[in-house]
Amino acid sequence: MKFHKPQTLPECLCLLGKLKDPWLLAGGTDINVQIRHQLNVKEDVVFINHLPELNFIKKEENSLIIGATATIKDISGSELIKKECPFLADSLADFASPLISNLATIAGNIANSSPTADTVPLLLVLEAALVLSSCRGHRTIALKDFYTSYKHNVRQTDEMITSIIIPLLPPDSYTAHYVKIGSRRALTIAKAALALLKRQDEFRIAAGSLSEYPKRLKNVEEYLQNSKKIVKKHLFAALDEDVYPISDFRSEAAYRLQVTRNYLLKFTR
Amino acid sequence: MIELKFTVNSEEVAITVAENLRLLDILRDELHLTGTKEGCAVGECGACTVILNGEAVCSCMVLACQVQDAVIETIENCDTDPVLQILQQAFLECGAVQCGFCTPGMLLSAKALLLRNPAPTEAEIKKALEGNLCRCTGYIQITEAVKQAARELAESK
Ligand SMILES: Cc1cc2nc3c(=O)[nH]c(=O)nc-3n(C[C@H](O)[C@H](O)[C@H](O)COP(=O)(O)OP(=O)(O)OC[C@H]3O[C@@H](n4cnc5c(N)ncnc54)[C@H](O)[C@@H]3O)c2cc1C
Ligand code: FES
Ligand code: FES
Repeated sequence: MKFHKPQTLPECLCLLGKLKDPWLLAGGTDINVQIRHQLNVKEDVVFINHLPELNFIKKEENSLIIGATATIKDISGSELIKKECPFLADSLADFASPLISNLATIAGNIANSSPTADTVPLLLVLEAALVLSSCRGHRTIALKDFYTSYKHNVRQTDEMITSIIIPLLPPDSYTAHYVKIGSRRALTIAKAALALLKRQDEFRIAAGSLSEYPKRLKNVEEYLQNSKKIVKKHLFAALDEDVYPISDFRSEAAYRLQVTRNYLLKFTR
Repeated sequence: MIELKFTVNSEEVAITVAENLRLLDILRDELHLTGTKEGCAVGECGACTVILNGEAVCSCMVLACQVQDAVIETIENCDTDPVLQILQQAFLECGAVQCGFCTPGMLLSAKALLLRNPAPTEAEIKKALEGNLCRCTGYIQITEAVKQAARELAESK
């Protein structure tokens, strides 16, 4: 492995353009595990955590803008986020452990593209967008359009996520919950996760660990929006069209589906 | 190879190490600070906990390049640091140490907590220590020890 440490963001973007398939290293909490297990280890590692341009949390007009290297701890502890988007701050309380959340970055969580990523269902119901930057320029894409298949996304190899944009809703105009089902509360990876946001008659629901990447549940949302009375059978049929739970070392498909059904019912009653 | 400068337990260190070393390897193999333990090597056990720029982190998750100019505290600071000493004594008195493998990490996570929150609740103590596993004690004594240390620190002020 070869290690690179650019000193400024423009220098970093220029470097990304020159390397063949660079591996960005932010908090390192996914990458160090991959290195340990020798999984998809790449040749050129580019450190980005020290770049001052990427570490910020701010409000601009009606949006929260979070820099790529803001850590989970920065976000859950941010006074600005607690005030403007308490749902996000509170929902990250069960992310890993403090020893990991002090290192883990938001962009690392998104870019790693795991179906279990805890920030993604939250950001999907908040309808967040990502700014992807390269030496060619910047583009903004909706998070819902970022993933293409299991562990794959639309990022080009010379691009990096530089910030995450969250359009703000007045905190008292909606209710929202995040449920993460794991083997235990602390330091656990989700077997299934649901983010639910309700605003007047609008439902926004996203799930993690139930398909190849975290997704909004379009059929469930549509069903809930259009039904005066919720019929279990119809709700579950809509869910079946949205998710594809699998059995793996973490859980069984049947369990994943059942807890998801249970929580959907609980929150939509 | 990379030339690194950082501070460990208030001493400035300048060394040249292989770039793929983890902070854990640098501490144990290069600086011979073997109080920091290696358990799982994948961020799950907390035996390798150190305080990096004021926050408790797993040193198995940090690569050489990331410690440039950093301020690091390890369990060896117990020789001089009053907070770690009070914690160490409380752990001994409460029976919070059996084999001791988790103890360096526990003390550092507890110190990082007490620095930002001198009077933590039981829930806050459990949260702060949730990344530190102990196979021996069952955690009750550990939680009690942190409470006792917090009381003693408050009294000593
Ligand atoms: C013990 C343990 C517990 C964990 N628990 C959880 C948990 O509860 N929930 C959860 O969701 N995750 C969990 N994780 C996974 C991990 O901590 C998170 O995914 C974390 O947010 C990754 O961020 P990082 O900065 O450490 O990423 P890194 O390891 O630095 O990078 C991860 C990936 O993202 C890419 N990347 C990083 N930054 C950028 C960028 N700006 N632009 C483009 N690509 C980028 C990297 O190239 C790499 O492929 C856990 C990990 C461990 C070791
Ligand atoms: S050795 Fe680092 S967390 Fe287990
Ligand atoms: S005392 Fe043995 S692991 Fe904690």
